[in-house]
Amino acid sequence: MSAAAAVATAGFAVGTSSASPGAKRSTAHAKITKIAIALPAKPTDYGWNQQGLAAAQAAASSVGAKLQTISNIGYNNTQAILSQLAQSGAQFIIAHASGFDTAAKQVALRYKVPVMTYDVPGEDVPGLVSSITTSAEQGGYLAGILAAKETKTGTVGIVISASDSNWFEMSGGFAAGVASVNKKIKVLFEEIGPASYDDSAGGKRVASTLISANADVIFGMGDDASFGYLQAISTAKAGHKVWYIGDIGNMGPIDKQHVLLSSEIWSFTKVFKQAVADIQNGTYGKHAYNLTLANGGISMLKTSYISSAIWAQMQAARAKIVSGSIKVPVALTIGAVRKLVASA
Amino acid sequence: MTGVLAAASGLFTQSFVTALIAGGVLASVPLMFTALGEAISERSGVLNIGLEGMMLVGAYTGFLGAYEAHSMWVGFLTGAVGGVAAAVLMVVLSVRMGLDQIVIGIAITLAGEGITSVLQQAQFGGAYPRLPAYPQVAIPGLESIPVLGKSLFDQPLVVYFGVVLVGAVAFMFGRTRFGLELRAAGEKPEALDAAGVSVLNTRSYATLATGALAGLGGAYLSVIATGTFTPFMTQGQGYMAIVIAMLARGRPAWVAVASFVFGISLSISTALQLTGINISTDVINMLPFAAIMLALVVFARSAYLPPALAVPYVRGAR
Repeated sequence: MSAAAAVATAGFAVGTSSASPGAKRSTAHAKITKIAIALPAKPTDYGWNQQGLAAAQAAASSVGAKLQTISNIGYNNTQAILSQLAQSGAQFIIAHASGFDTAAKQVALRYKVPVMTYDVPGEDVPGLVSSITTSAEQGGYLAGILAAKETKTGTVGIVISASDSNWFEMSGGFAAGVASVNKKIKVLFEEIGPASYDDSAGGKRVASTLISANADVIFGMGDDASFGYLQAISTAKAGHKVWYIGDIGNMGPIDKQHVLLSSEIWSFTKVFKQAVADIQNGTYGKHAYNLTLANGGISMLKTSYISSAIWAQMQAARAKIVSGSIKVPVALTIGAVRKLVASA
Repeated sequence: MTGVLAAASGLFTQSFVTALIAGGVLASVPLMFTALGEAISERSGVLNIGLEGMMLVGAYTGFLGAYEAHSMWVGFLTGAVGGVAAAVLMVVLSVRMGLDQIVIGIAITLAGEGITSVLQQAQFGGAYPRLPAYPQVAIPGLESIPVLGKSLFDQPLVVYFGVVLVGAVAFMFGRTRFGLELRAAGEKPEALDAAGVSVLNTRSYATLATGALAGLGGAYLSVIATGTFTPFMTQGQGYMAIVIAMLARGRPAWVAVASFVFGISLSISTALQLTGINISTDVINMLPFAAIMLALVVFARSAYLPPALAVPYVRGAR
């Protein structure tokens, strides 16, 4: 634990003698009546933001708390917005982006309000800061099995919109999943750009390139770039069916051309509910949270386009991952993904 | 290395290379329209930093028009109108009132980003509707050329219109009275004024034309290149268009060439990734920008900007 964290923790433990604006608020063992969530983009993205908001709503309603939502805040004014949420009486703030982590921790320490961050498990502060990580590679592995079973051309593709560790994990898991079915299947990998999360035009261009390279199942990860993937696949003139496997959310409602084969769904609901319980029990910040296949944080979307036999194989693989008999490789860098893709 | 070459040889089939070049064209057309508009604006002495915002407004209104009317042509029309509407701000505040062109341009960009994002949310909520793939027109004879035929000569009609427009703007610059007045407004506005031609009107027309072309570029992005509208979808293409227009020194043909180079560089960066070449994608993705910077370095000495560029015209002022 860092010195700053230790000081903060001590301050939290002994009560609230600090002169900071939120210091009079007690957090431990208090009934949660107000939760806040800050989203980097609009909650209509069929992905990260939508899933986060849905989970926060579920967590709030489960304890009868009011939910305050601030969306589409970007990344350049985070501290001010999170501070306002803390001062508005929120007893738990979900800072729903890893890009918010630094500001979120500062706000938690200053206002003594429990805050949820992402992907920094070592930064926990008892009572104030905890973090969510994902075993995203597990879902990627199942997506890889699905793609390998569905491909007719023997080539599948991965496209990510940014250098994001979660997407590297999913991509690596996908390549391993494909290889587990058939090592002869070619896996192609593309990144639109280092931070092209919202580049829908780039998404369409790159997905179209994958299709022209004969990929007939594409695992696509990206915020608004996903709309470009979906459009490229929906309007592809490949001469054969091209399938899309999405990520985090379910784009089914806007899939008019019936190309969405599945999606790696992330559900934050159980984690948020657990976090609320931990805050009320005084155990928040003493452990991190992880989304896995085992705890239901990660799952695959079952669509009518997946046959029962293939779904059963995916479920069998899921059971083995949960039991530990299948160890899915974790790729945290693009180089690691490329190695897995090359060896697939 | 051998593995990479083997992968490349298996990958670069005729259909793949065709798709690669077609992808380059797809990426270059919005830039070409927008940079052509900037060339007109700069020639008249107006530095239009607001292209990004005008493109976004055009992308939104273009998508809306195409979606509601089920017609890409209506989309292009409404896109151009949207761009003109955004350009009116530039005309009123910068050209007419003489406010700083850079500041107003930045304001238009920021407003364009915010307004289109809000409108998209209000209009469609979480629906994100998409457009169908519009028909392409093949040029008889040329489309059968191996590789290049399908990638270059089998395009939506608006692409050919863009190429014709490049020629038309070049003709306008070099052979028409209005073109002469336009250039005079950027080079010696006082001389134009002395000749009895309104500098402000000339610059206003140029700025509105820029808005129309930027709107058209944005509409191409949403209607053809993507088939949907997403907030901030231009991803800095408006700024790239400014660089291209400056690089091209206001010459329409060079605008088209530079846009195509940029688009093809984007496609090549995609292809390099697929070969599994062991270079950071950050480096690969720098290719288009490196190409533009290299061209800037090579041609910078002969780069020409109108002397009165970004300088508000006030009669009698020294």
